[in-house]
Amino acid sequence: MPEDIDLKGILHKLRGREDSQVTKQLVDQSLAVKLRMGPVKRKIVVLSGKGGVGKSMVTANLALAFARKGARVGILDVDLNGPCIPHMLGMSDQRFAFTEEGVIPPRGPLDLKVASMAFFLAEGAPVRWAPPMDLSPIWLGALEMGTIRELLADVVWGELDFLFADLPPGAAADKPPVLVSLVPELDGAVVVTTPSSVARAVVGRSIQYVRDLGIPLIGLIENMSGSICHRCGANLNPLEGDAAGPSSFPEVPFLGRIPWDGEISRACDRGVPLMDPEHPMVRRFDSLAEGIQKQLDLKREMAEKILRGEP
Amino acid sequence: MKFLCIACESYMGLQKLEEVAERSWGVVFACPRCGHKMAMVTNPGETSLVQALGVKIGGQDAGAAPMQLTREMLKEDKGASPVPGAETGSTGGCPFGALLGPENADATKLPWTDEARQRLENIPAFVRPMAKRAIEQMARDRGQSEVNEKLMDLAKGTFMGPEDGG
Repeated sequence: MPEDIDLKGILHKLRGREDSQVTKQLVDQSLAVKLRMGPVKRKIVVLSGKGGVGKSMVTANLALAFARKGARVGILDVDLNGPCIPHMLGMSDQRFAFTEEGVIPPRGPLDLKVASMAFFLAEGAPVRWAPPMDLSPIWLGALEMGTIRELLADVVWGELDFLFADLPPGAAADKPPVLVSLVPELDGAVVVTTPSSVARAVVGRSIQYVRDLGIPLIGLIENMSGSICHRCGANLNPLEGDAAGPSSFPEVPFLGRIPWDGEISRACDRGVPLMDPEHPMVRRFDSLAEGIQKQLDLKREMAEKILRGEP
Repeated sequence: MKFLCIACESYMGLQKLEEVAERSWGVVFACPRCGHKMAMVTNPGETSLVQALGVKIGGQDAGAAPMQLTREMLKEDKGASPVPGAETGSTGGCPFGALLGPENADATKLPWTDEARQRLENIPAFVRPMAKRAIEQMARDRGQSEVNEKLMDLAKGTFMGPEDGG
């Protein structure tokens, strides 16, 4: 190319021609999420820094507890590489339906709407992205963010009272910021832990991380906490100590304990959730749902007070 | 991304687009003035990188099908069922497909008056591409050579139903 070409001058003359408008496309993507999330009243993430503490079991049963109260509830399974919500709810053989309006989510027990990568995968098959970029972590990060955005924007969630997002373990620390950037007016996070010092340390970091992102903390649930008597509903052998109970994170509202229970474990494994309203574990989740509702109401009252300028 | 014919001081237009190998696209551009041609070939990595952003180089003209990015990128898609709008011809999965500008690629696309385009912008983003296609089809069906405000009024009545006048 001759050196005397005035490229700037040529481009100035050609100014006005539309280019790819990539920024506008990205804004449009966010708008699509905002439109789809508009009819969803409460958006709650369930997370933990620690793997294996029972986030998905807690998410599924909390969603059922709210549905039992008559709420319209959806679950977004953000654990793209280890989705298990459909299995726990007996929806493994279901698939998305694709329409002009968007993706119709399968409906589970009590009419729960569920969106999960599992609906794209054969039973037991891992997520495999097309080569050649599937081994690039940067590409995977961008793609997973795109998938989460599509699960939010393209799924026909309709009007919901609650949408629970079940996050993967803490190693995938990019997911909370993705959700914060994508989901308008995220109502808060429910943090799941276990009565173990190891879990406490990791979960503590997650709590700080959630705070740094500006996500309101709805409360803490301690899972696998003792066991339950199926006759009287009492806790047996509850673990006591620094790592357990309300004292573990005094600055976070303590929503309650979930005892280890063989029946609910088997129910999740079989994909047949416990539905008997008199079952002690079902009652426990109903109680946790009430606690979450109270916290949400409290936060709303506080926000209204601030708006009114009251002290 | 645009290509420039320096001799003519003109942007080149896309003339041909084809998948030359899996996830590798060959794109032929031509200068509308002198006819000089050049070709660009993407490798699968470049194609995937652009696709991962969920954007289309040249602008998102045709609406993306639901979960298009995820479905295209999954090696196995057991959830596959026909996706309306996914069958958008040979360029459906190409992030450069939108380079097919109205002036040099798709002779069936119609010009829009500024007023009509402004009203199109007021339609929610995620249904806008679908609405645009439907309105252009309506114009063609009526033998119109452009989309104007009058047609937009007609389209509104057709697609949104009559307004409740009380």
